[in-house]
Formats: sequence, structure tokens, C-alpha cells
Amino acid sequence: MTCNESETFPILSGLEENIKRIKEISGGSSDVLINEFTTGGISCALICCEGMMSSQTAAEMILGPVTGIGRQGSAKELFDHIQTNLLLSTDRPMAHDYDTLFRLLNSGFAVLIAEGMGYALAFGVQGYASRGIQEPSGEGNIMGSHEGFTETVRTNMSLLRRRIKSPELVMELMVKGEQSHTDICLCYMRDRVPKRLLDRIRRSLDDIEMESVLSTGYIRPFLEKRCFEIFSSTGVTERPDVLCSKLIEGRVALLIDGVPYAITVPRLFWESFHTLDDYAYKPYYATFGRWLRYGAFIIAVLLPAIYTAIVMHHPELLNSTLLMLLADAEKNAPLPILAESLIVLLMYEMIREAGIRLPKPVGGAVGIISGLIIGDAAVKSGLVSTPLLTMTALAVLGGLVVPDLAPQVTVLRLAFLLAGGLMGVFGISLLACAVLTNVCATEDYGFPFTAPVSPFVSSGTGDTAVRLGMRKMLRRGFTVEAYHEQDK
Amino acid sequence: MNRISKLQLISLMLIGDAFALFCLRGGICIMTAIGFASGSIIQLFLALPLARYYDSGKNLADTGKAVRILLLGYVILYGGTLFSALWHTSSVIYIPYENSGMYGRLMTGGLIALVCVYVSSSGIKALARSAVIAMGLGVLCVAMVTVSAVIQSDISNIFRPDGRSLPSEVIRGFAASGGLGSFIVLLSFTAEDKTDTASMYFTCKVILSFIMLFTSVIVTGGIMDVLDFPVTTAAQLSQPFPVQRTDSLFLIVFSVLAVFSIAVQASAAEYLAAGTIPRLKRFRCTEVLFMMVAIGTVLYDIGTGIISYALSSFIIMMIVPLESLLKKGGGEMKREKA
Repeated sequence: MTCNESETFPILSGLEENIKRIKEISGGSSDVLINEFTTGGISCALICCEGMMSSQTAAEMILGPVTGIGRQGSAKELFDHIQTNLLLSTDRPMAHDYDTLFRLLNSGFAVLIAEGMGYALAFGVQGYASRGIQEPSGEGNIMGSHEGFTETVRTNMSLLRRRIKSPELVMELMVKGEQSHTDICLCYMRDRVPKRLLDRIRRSLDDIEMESVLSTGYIRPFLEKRCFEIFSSTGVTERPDVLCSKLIEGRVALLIDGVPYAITVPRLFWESFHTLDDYAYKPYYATFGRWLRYGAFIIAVLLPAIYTAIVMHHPELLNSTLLMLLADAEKNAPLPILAESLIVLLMYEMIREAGIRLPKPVGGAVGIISGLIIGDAAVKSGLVSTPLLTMTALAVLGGLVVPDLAPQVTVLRLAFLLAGGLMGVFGISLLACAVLTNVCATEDYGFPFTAPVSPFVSSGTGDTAVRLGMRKMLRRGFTVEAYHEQDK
Repeated sequence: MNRISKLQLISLMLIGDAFALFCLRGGICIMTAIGFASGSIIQLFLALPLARYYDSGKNLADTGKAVRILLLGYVILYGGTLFSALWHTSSVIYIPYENSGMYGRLMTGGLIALVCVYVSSSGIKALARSAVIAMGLGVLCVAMVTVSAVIQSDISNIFRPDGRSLPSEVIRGFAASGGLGSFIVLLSFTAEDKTDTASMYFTCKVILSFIMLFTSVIVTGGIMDVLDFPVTTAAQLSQPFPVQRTDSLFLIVFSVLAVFSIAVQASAAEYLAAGTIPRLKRFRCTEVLFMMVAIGTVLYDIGTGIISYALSSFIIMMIVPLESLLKKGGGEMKREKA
């Protein structure tokens, strides 16, 4: 009998046989605790996984009441008594096979088996150590909530439920990963979500066949098209308030146990420039902030490329003062400007990567010190010109304004730099056409990534180019269905 | 079937028209602006039977294979003309390595063709969506150039005698409207009312042509005799800033328009090739673009007359409704005989 076959094998009625099989399947793992005892005249065993459950709760809520049960005629009577007369926990599933038994066991349930019973009773007494709710690290906000998702899916579900108390909010739990058996929660608003979207996402999830689900990146490719897309058509957020706003707009979300991020489908390009603070401030300031972010994105991607293209191929674009200034700065630099730009950008990426990977107290210091020392030394030694360093710093700063698009900005910045350095503005334009087409071709489940700009959807522009007043926004009664393009 | 919206079709077509105007060679005067606008109105009347034909529930697949092959040939030929026009016009725009003779030219064309292959192979929907954004950029630039042109312009240029007649300029306008072949193909893709879409497109074309040519005339009228590409030069001369030259930035608009104009022809040709030459299963887009580059190389040196271009544009607009009329006539004759 193979391991998988044994796991799907129905639970045996003999207690000794059962315990033997459980030990066999678990390979004698030391965290599987089997406590044999007799209650009501029936031999039983309470099995649990150490570290996944609260020992105190198990002792007080399960072992205490169960061991105090009076004499019973049979094991069936004992289980019926426990099920009908004792409310040992609110979550009380039953396991009929070893696969379910081990899934429950590894999810922090205490499992009760008895001599002569072909199934097991499970009690939810989860009590594993987990990180508490903390402020999100990547989606900073001034006026919004300071709670972020944690690694525990049930905590995350409660964070959503606390914000949307409507019965229309549905949260469906499912298990994915042949080895990891990860809990995944599909969330949607029943009255808002487009039915076709929900069906198609369910189909996509059904197609997932993988051993483990350890981050959002394991699931997202299965929800997106197979062809090459620069930008991802599924979004992630670590803020429960942001996710709630998306659910109310009719989007679908996925929470993954062990991951403090939620996946949202569909995602649109312009959403990356929205923050929750936009809805806390006056519309004119929110609109200003949004355009600032659009501008920052363009600067982040194009500034080094345009600077290089102008200095190398189109100096006539500069006025005489600026031209003299740049010529003076660049004449002492030993490297061609394209190489110089590439070195500075790659240097920054290395410093950034080191700052992320190193322990936090060291990482921050390394980032600041290496940036200052290397930057200053590079300029003073004449290896890099000051204007170029300024342009690069501005571009990097622009990229930090839209952290959601950081990976794309990094790669596109380098690609545009090469195009601009080799072919000038002409090269930048050609690459821009290809990138624009790629962005416009991004579409999943019939929702174009570039909506509502192209295809133009007038009802969506009130929260894209500008941010309308809250009364007008609410009057729109907007759901994401308005962007659905297929079959039109 | 891939459907595109009215706005998307108009954007796709206007990009091609704007590019054709930027590549327009020879002197222009106010009569040119009037002639091109009048030509567009005539084209609208020629397009109405076609739009009605589509509105009646028929599409391009219902036409005869000969018609579709003719259309395919026309679209590929016009794609080649665009490459040729691009190479000619790039002589007044600085593109790095462009001036290194034939190799420079081929490299420019090759790079554009490469991007076009990607753009066209992404599908008509992606092309149409990106065309709307590119058109938005184009309109913004035209608006900036027009505003800047007010400072540089001399309104007396309108009355400068040039000796060009209205009929000759209407014919010239027809000759610069090679995109009509792709219009015939793309109109069948639109989801909305075709007659309404065609009317809207040609109205926009009239406005665009008139604004661009009128602005060019008032800016460059005084030096028209020495200009090869008056519209491009007008765009370059209309500097919004007094102390620096921004004409290189015009290269962005020019390149974007070139890519999308050619990609539209490639997409239309690819669609026609799929229906008429079933043996062409893979790399259709690459093959039609290769043909366009080859034709462009030939046309670059020999060129063709304005009359032949204008005539072919005129015929191509009539071909689908005429074929339908002939089929109907043939059917009635058969019924009478029976």
C-alpha cells in the first residue's frame, strides 16, 4: 500500500490498528501526540499535533468533560453522547478517512478515536503561535486603518467580517497543495460579483495541481493568462480595508493561510496609483496626489533613458545653459554615458537588494551608508557625473512612490535606458509602443487591464483621472462588471 | 470574433491619416487643406454603401475571394508605401544611424517592422486599445503644435498664390488615403452601427486634415518652395519654447504614428491572408510585413504617380458594394432565366 493510498483509506474500527496506522502514516513524527485513555468504559485515544493546538484549551474543554462521561453501552453511544450532549468546541468536524484526519490534526484540531468506531471526532482547539495584527509594512496610510493581514487565514477572515457585516459577504474555504494542504479562502460579495467571473475563477482554482502553496506567487500564475504579460492582471494587498473596498466593487479575493497578502481579481492598471488616503482627503487633493503618482511613474521609468538619449543623441533639446552645464559635468567622466547610467542603476539595485536581504537593523544602515559613501566617492572620483546621479536618484524616488509596480519599473527602466542609449528618442518610442501594446493586451476573465481609459468606460473615469466627491461616487453604484468587455 | 468600438476604429484610422499627412511631400497651400477635406467628404459618400452592406448583416467573408485577394494586395502595397514614406521623411528627422545609407534605412525599417510584428500579433483588440492611447498622445501633440504655431504663424500665408487647383488637391488627398483598404477590413470588426461609425470617422478625418494642413500652411507658407515635407517641418518649427529646439520630441510622435500605421496595415493584411490563403498558417504577420518592407524598398527608389494611388483608393472603396451589386444582378438574371 502506498502512502497516498493509505491516507485515503477509511478509518479502521480497531483502536490498536488505528493507532498503528496513524504512527505508520506520520512516520513516527514526534509532534504527533497520541493520548490513550478509557472513558465510559470504552478505550479511546485523543490525538493532536504539538504546537498546533492549545494544550490548556484541550485539557479544559475536551479532556476534562470527555473523561468525566459516565458508563456507555457502546462506542457509538459514547460518540453520540459527545456530539449531542457536550459542546466541546464550536468547530466539530468528523473524519472518515486518514486524509481528513491528518488534515484536521495538522490544522490544530484534537481528534478523538475510539475502539469499535469507523470514524473520528475532531475539535477545534487551535492555539499555534502566530504573529499578531500589525501595521502593514508596504502599503502605508495616514488616515486609514493601521491593521494589516497576518499569516493566519482565519484571523484575516475575521478582519474582513469586522468591516463587512453583511451576509452577502461569502468566504469559502478550500484546501490546495498535495503536501502542504494549505487553506485558501475565496471571498466575494454575492450580490456584487459577476457570476461569470466567479465561475471562471473557480475553474482556474480547480486546475491548480501543486505540492505546496507558500506565497501568492504560487496561485497567481494560475489565475492569469499564459502569454507574456509585463504587468500582473491580479493584484495583492495587505490591507483588509483596501480588500473590502475591492470586494464591494464586485471583485473576487483569495486569502492564503500563511501569507499576509490577499490576491484580488481582476486588477486594473490604474488601481496601482490609488491609495486609501485618496478617499480620506478632499477630492482636489486626492486628484493632485493621483497625478503626482502618474508623473512619478513616468519619471521612474523614463527619466534616465531620456537623459541618456538627449545627452548622447539629441543635445539640441537642451537650452545653451543646460547644455554647457551637462557638457562640463560629463567631460571628465571616463565612461560612455550609457555605461555610466547602467552602472549607477545597477549599483542602486544592489544596495536595495542588500538592504532587503540583510537583517533589518543592519539593512537600513547598509542602505544609507553605502548610498552616501559610494555615491559621494563615485562623484568625487569623477567616475559618475553629478547630473546623472541626480537623474537616477529622481527616477528611483519616483519608483518608490508607486511601490505596487516596483518590479516592473525596475526592469522597464533598464530596458528603456538601453533603448534610449542605443537609438535615442526613436528607440524609446519603439519600445514604448511595444510596452503599450503589451499592457493593452493584458486581459483576464474579460476585464481589460487598461480599462476605463482604453476601452473607454465613462463610469470608471470618476475614480481614475480625477477623484469625484464621495456623494457622486456613491451615486454611481459602480461595480467592476462595467469594465467587462467580452461578448460586447 | 474580436470586436472593436467606434472610438477604437476611428483612432486606428486617424493615426494612419496623421502619419500620411506628416509624410506628405511637395508644396501645400490653403487649397490643399480644402481639397483634402473635400476629398474626405467624397470618401464618406463612397463609404456609405459599404457601411450599409455591413449593416445588412454581411461581412467581408461574404465577398468573393477575388475581392479579398485584391484588397490584400492593396493593403500590402500601401504598407510598402508607408515604409517608403517613412524612409523618405526620416531624412528630415534625426534617427540615429539612419544616415548610414541603405543599411541604416533597413535597420530603421527592420526595427519598426519588428515592433509591428509584436504589436500586430498581440491581436486586433490590443492594437485597437493601444491606438486609442496613442491617438490621445497624437491629439495632445497636434494641439500643442497648433497653439505654438499661432506664435510662429503668418496669416497672410493663406493668401499666397500657389497655382494649385481644387480638383488636383482632391486627387492628392485620395492618393494620401491608402488606409482605406484597412478601413474596409476594420469596419467589419466594429460592434456599433457601421454607417454611424463611418460618418464619424470621415468627419474626424476632415477636421484633422484641415487643422494639420491649415496650421502647416500658416507656419511654413513663406518657405514652402524649399520644403520637401511641409507638415513635418511645420511641426518642427512650431516650438513652444523660444530658447531651445524641441523638434527631436516630434520624433516620438512620428515613430509612434509610424508603428501603429504600419501595424494596422499588417493586421488587416494578416486577417485577409488568413481568409484567402489558407496555406499560410504560421508567421502570417511576419510574412506580410516582410512583403511590405520589400515593396517599400522598391518604391523608395522608383515611386509611383499620384493619379495611380488616387485611382486605386477610389476603386478600393467601390469594390465591395460593386461586387455585391453584381452578385445581386447575376442572381436576378438567373431567376429570370429559371
